[in-house]
Amino acid sequence: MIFYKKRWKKTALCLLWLVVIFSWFLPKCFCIDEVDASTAIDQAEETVNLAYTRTAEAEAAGADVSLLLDKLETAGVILSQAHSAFRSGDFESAFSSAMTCIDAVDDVADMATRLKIDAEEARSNGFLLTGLTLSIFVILFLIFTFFGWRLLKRWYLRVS
Amino acid sequence: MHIEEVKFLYVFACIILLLVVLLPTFIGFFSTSVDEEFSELWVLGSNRTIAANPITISANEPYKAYLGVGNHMGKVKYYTVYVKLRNQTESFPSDTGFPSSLEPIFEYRLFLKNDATWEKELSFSFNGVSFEGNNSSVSGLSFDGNFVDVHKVAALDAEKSGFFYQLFFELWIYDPDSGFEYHNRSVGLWLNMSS
Repeated sequence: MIFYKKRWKKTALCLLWLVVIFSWFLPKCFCIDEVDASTAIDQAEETVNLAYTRTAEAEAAGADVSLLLDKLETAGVILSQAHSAFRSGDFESAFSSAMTCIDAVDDVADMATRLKIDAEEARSNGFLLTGLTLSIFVILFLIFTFFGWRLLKRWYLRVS
Repeated sequence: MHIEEVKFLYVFACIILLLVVLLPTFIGFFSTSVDEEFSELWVLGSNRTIAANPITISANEPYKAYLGVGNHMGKVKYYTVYVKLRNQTESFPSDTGFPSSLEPIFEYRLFLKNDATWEKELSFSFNGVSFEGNNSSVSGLSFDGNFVDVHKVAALDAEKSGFFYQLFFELWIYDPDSGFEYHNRSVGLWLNMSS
């Protein structure tokens, strides 16, 4: 009986220690420090920069990028908030905003790449169609010119 | 008129006609825009006109201003406007393309299409203002709903009789090859702190 009582006490003491240690380390495990926040902001910056670069390329190819710009604008506001929170020492908010920013523009680079490919195809088709139309026009023009000359020549010789 | 001369005139007229018909198409294909590329940055006072210079301010009083950016660079651009605060002796962006060395207190990130403009109403107030002898100090700035620790000291300007701070804005532009670069544009509001 005494043996069991002692054992129970030891177990309780161990549990108590575990609780104390757990409560000591738990916040440290999940707490966001300056390095974490800074890394997250750097990642967010890179994601936004890449998204912008791809969007600019898509626009240069002739794509309508209005939707992508709306997303970038939202991400820009969130990224500014992340920097602001970081400067004021609120690393958790900075980290959280940086992650939200990454989520906001995560698909923009891929969407922009697809839009760019579509726009380039459309432009290439446009060139082809214009080239074809011009060629047909020039050929018809030459044919009409030739027959026109024959008619003119006949009329001119008859008159003179 | 000889038939050869008529033939020459006919061919010449046909070539001119062909060129006139095809010219608009060729212009559309090969023309490149040579418009001047530039960006705009402006700051206006509370009633959207040129702000008084300096603006006399006091602690805990809210003030309004309008900040704007215009893109005329010919394509979509990514800008950052850094908001900075300085006293009369601290660094200001130079005309030779160097930004102020001061840390920003806030920033705006913008994505603007060609010929698009962005304007934002700013609200700010100074907190923790104190005066001691010939110095005034500010410990906090509430800017656009964000509280920022600033800790700035301005000495009395005996000539202009005031304690002057400048809230200024620098325009930076993103280049995919080299990252953000100062775009050599800055505007500011001189603020005379009164007790």
